[in-house]
Amino acid sequence: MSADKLNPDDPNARRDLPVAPAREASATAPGDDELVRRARNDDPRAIAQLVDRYQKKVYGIAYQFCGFDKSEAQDMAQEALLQIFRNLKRFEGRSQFSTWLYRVAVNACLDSRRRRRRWSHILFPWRAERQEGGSTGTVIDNIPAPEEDGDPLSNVSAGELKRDVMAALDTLSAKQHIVFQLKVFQDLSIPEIAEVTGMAEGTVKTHLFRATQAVRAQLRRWVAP
Amino acid sequence: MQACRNHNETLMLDVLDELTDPRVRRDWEGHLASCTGCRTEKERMLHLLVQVRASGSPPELSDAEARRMAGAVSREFRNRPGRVSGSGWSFRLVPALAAACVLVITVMAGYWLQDSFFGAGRVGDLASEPQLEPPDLDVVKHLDLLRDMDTIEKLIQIVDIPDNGLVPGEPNPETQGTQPDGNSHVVA
Repeated sequence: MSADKLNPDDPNARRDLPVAPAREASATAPGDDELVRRARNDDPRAIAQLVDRYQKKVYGIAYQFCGFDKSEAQDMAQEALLQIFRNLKRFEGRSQFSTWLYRVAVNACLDSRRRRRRWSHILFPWRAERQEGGSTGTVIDNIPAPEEDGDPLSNVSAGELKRDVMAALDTLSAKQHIVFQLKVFQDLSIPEIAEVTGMAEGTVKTHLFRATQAVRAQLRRWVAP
Repeated sequence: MQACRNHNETLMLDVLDELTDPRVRRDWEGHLASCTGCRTEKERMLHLLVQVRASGSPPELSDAEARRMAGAVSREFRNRPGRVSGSGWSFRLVPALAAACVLVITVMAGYWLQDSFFGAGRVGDLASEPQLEPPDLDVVKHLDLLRDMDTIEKLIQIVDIPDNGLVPGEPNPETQGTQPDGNSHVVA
């Protein structure tokens, strides 16, 4: 579900499946299964190709898990990628590699976030309290860098929206957060989310419904009249 | 205008592109055509999700950042334990050698510092005690002998008591107050 597919003018457009990177690759590029098989036999080129193929997806997951912080997302994505390749021998091929990768990446990001929050609580308790209070910084902190957009008003607006979205996501339970994130940001279908999280499809649907309602309520000032 | 409460879930599924049942979709589209509230709410939700998605999209990784991340992963994977490579054993030997060096240094330092800490403590303890003079030390050394001598002296005094029952050295009550010439007189 890309941004244009959520466009009101095109409500019936279908989203791409998470195996899109493999499909986007040229016809001569090896598939995931082939690359995974070679990577498990310590083929450095296959590993490099897999990293190249899924790096941005893992980075995207990390970015949304770490509160939209780019440098933290890079560290988290690197940890998640390492976790994925350390556990590659455990991949049994019962699901698609991309599904398995999402599962490991989400778990790695959750672990990493938990660890970072624990340390943050110990080292910077005042910052942790501020985050728990729903604010993750001042408006100025959340304004994108000027070079990203020339219009200062839209910069401020984007910063405020980002802050409000983060605050809205913070109000969700862990499961609601994961499900909402995988659906809205990672564009997975409900069956795929169920496979990644190990929940039943009905449970995923319930979490998704509640999360959407909660986010809608939190962001009512951004809803067009 | 509010959306119909009984269509909330269908609305959400439609907005999230998860309305897969054709019959439900057909019914929903029929309802949408006639319900302004649901139609408006659907447009609002779609707009909101576009905004949320846009705000959560990560900034692009630069080529250098992507290369650095990929390099770190490849390095880790190359050097992971269990992987056999030509130079792998030497890399694994480095931590062992380092640990051995640290151990040796710790033991040597402990040996040297032992004197500094414990030795100084003993000297300090001795220094804090009062020093004895050599004659006093002799007394302490021969204390048992002196006690024995004291006992012998008392024994001699008991054995040497004369028949009159007087202890030598003690004055005789009968001759007390008399002059040596035998004239008795009361001493005032």
